[in-house]
Amino acid sequence: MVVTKLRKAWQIFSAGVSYTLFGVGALLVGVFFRLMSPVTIISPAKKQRMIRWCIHKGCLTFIRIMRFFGLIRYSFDLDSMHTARPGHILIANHPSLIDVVLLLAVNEQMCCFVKSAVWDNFFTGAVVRQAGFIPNNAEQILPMAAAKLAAGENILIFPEGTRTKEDNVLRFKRGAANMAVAVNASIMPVMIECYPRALKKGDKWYDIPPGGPAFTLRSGELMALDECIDTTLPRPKQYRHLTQFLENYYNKQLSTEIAATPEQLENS
Amino acid sequence: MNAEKQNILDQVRDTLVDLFELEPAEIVPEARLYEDLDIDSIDAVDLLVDLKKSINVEISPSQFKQVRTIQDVVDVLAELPAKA
Repeated sequence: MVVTKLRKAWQIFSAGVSYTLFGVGALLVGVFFRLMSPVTIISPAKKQRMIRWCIHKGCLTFIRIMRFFGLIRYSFDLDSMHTARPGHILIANHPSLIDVVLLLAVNEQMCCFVKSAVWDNFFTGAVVRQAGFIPNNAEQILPMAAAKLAAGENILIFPEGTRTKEDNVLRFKRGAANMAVAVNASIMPVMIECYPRALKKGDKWYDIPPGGPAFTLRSGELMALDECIDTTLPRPKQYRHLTQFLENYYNKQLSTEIAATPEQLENS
Repeated sequence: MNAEKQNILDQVRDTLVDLFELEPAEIVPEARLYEDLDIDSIDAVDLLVDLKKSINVEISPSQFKQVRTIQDVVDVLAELPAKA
C-alpha cells in the first residue's frame, strides 16, 4: 500500500519534471530563434532547418528522459520511413498525447499542423511559429501545405484529427485525403501502437500505468496516390475512396500486429 | 416548388449522386449539406466547379457561403442568370 503510494508519487513527480523540462526547452528554443530572426546572414531556409533540428533533438531528449524515469518504453521499426523520397505526407494513427513528440524524435526535418491551443500556448507558441509549422485554422492551409511538399518537406497529419477513442476504433476524417489528392502527394504510413493505452484524450498527464506504456512505431512502404485509388475519378470520390483505403490499411496493419507473430507461434 | 426549381433540383441531385456517391433518395430539399450529406467546404468547391459546367451558370464562392441545405442550393441557382 505504502509502496504503491510512493510509486504513484514518484511517477507524478517524474512526469512533472519531464513536462516542465519540455515546456522550458520549447520556450528557450522558441525565444532564441525569435531573437535570431533579425539576423540576416543566415537564410530563412537555413534557420528553419536549424530550428527543426533543435525540435528533433529536444523531442528525442524528452522521450529519453521519460524512458529513464520509467514513464514510457518505446521501440522503432522505421527504415522505410528514413529512406522514403522526401515531399510526402506522413500519416499516423493517434493513440496518445505524445505521438507527435515521438514522431518528431525520429524525424529530423518534419512539418506539422498545429492546433490553436499549441499555436497560442505560452511555452510552445514561439517555437512552432519559428519552425514554419502550419496553424490548422489558417485560411490558405492547402496552398501552404502544397508549397512545402513541393519544396521537399514532409508534413505530418493524423487522419483521425484527434486522439483515438477508448474503443480503439479508427475514424479517419477526410483532411489527409483532401490534401494528398489536391497536391498528388505520396503517403508514408506510420503505425503507432501504445500498450496499455495511456495518455488518451481526457486522461491526466501524470496518470501513467506502472512500468510505463510500450510504444511501437512501425512504418509501411511509401504509397503513390495512384497505387491507392483511381485518380481519374472526380475529386470528391477520390477523397472518399482514399480515406476508406487508408482506414482499411490501418485496420489491417494494426490487427495483424495484435495477432500472434511467427516467433510467438514457434515458441508456443 | 415550381417547374424551374424542380428541374434544377433534379440536376443538383444527379450531380450530387455522381460526385459524392449518395443515394438519390437522400437528396431532398430539407437535407443539410454538412450534417446530413457529409459535404464539407472542400467538397463544396468541387461541387461549385461541377455545377458551373452542368447547369452552365456563373456562381461565385461568396454566393455559396450562406448555403446550408439542398433548398438553399436550388434557390441560389434559380436566382442566377444563365451565362450568355
